[in-house]
Amino acid sequence: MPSRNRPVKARGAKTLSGQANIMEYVLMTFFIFIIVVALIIFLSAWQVSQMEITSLGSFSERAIENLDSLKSTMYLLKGASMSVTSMLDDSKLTALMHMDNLCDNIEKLFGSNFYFEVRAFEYSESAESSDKECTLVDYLDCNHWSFCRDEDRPATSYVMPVNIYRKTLNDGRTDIGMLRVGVYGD
Amino acid sequence: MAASIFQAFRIIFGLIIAVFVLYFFLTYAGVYGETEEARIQNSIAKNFVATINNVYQSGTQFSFTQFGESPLDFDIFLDTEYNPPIHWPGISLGTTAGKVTLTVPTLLIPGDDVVVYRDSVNLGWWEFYFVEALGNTAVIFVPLDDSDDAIGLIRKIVDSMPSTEYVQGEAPKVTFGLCGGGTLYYDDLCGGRCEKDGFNELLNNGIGSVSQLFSACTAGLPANSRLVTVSGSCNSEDYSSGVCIEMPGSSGTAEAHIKGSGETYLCKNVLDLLALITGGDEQTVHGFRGSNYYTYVNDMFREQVLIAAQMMSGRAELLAGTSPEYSTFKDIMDSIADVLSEPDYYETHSSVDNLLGLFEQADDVFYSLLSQGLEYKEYAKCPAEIGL
Repeated sequence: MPSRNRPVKARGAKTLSGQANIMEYVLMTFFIFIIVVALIIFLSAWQVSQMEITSLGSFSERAIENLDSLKSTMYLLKGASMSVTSMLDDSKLTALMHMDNLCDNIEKLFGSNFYFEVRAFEYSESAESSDKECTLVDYLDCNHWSFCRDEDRPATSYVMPVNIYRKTLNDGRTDIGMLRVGVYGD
Repeated sequence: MAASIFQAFRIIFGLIIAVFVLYFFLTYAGVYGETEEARIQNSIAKNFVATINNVYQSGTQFSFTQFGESPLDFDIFLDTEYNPPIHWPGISLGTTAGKVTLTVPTLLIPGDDVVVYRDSVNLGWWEFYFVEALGNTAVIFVPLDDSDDAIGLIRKIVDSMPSTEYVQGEAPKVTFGLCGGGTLYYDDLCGGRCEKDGFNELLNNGIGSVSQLFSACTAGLPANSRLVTVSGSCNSEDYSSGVCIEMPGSSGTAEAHIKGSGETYLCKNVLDLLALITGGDEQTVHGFRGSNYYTYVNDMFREQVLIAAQMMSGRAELLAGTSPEYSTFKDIMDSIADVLSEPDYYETHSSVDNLLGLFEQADDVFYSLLSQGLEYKEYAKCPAEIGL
C-alpha cells in the first residue's frame, strides 16, 4: 500500500507546488495591478492639484492684469490719451461710477467677475470720517470710489498706489491714493 | 506535464501583464504628450495676448517670435464670433486646449514672427487705441491718379503701419511697393525694398516720375501681399484683387470695396481702412476677412467711444460750474452717444457724416477748454485727426 501511495504523494506535492507558483503569479499580478492603479491615482491627483494651482494662479494673474489695465485706461486717467499712467482723474471716477448700467459697461471694457475701488488717503482735514463715498451731489469733499463691489462675495485682490488729480476742486491738488482690484473667486 | 502547463501559464500570464502595463504606459504617455503640447500652445497663445496687452498699454513696438520658435505645428484660427465675456466679436487664437481671445482691438496678419505695434484714432477729447500684429507683409499701392489727395491718403495708411527698418535680425518686415499696369515697383524701389521711412521719403519726393503708374495693376504680386488701389471711383476692372478705396468726400468719409464682396464699406478713419487692408479679400468660413475685421473694429470703436461719450457727458455736468462751455460739451457728447447707440450706424452715410461733424464740434469745444487751461494740454494731441 505504501508503495501505491508514493506516486500519489509525489503528484500531490507537484500539484501543490504548481498551485503555489500560480498563487505567486496571481499575487504578483495583484500587486502589479495595485501599483499601476496607485500610479494612476497618484498621477491623476497630481494633475488635478496642478490644475488647482493654475486656477488659483489665474485669479492672481487676472487681478494683476486688471490692475495694469486700470492704471493705464483713459476711462480713469487724467488726460485724453494713455501717455501718463497711474494719475487718475476724480471727475472721471465720479462720472463713471454714476453711469447707467455701470457693471455692464465695466464688463464690456475690462471683462466680468471683478471689482475695483479707488481711495484717496487724506481728502479733508475737516472730515470726521476717513472714508466718504463720492456722489454726483457730494463730489468735492470725498475720497472713495467703488465699482461693482459685492462685499458678500470672496475675492482675490491686489492693491497699488496711484495719484488722484482732484479736477473737481479746480485747485490743481493731487492726492495720493490706492487702487484695489479684486477678482471674485466663487 | 504540470511543469509544461505551468510554463505555458507563466508565458501567457507574463504576456498579459506586459501588454497591460505597456498599454497603460503608452496610453498615459500619449495623453501626457498631447496635454504637454496643448499646454505649450496655450502658453504661447497667452504670451502673445500678454504681448498685445503690453504694447497696447505702453505703445512700445515689439517683435513676437514664439510662433516661429515653437517646434509644434501651431495654427492660428481667426474668427469674429461673439466671445463672452467680451461683448463684441473678437479675434481668437485656437489651440488644442481651447481659444485664447484678444481683448484689445487688434488687426492680425498671421506669421511665424509678428511685429506688434500700437496706433490710435485721435478725436482730441479721446484717443481710441488699437494694435496691429503683422507677419511679413507687403502692401502694394496702386494709385489711379497722382492728385495730392490720393498721395495724402496713401501716406495716412503708411503712417499708421509699423516701421521695421531698424529692427535687427530675422524680425518680420512690413514693406511697401507700387504697381501700375504689368509693372511692379517693389524689390528695388528704395535701393532695395521700401519700409515705412523709405516709402514716406519716396512719397515726399513725388511718385509722378515713376513710369507706368496710374493704371490698374496686372503684375504678379509678392508673397503675403495686400493690394490697395486708390481711385476716384472704383470700377471692378480697376482692381484685380485686394481693396479699392475711393477718395474721401468733404465730410471725410471714404467708400471702399473688397474684390469679390460687392459691398460698400464706409471708412471714417484710418482704422477702418486698415481693417479692410489687413483682412484683405481672403475668404474664411465667416466670409471675407477684410469685411469681418471691418465689422469687428467698428463694433469695438462704437462700444468704447459710446461709453467714453456717456462718461464724458457726466463729467462735463460735474464741471459745468467752471465754464459754460462744459454744458455745450455735454450736449455734444450726448449727441455722439445717440448716434453710437445705433449698432449699425457705420453702414449709413448720413449717420457717419453726422458723427464726424459731432466729433469736429467736440474737438473745437475741447480745444477751447484747453486754451482756457481747463483741460490738460500736456496730455492731449491737438488738433484731432477727424475723418480721412
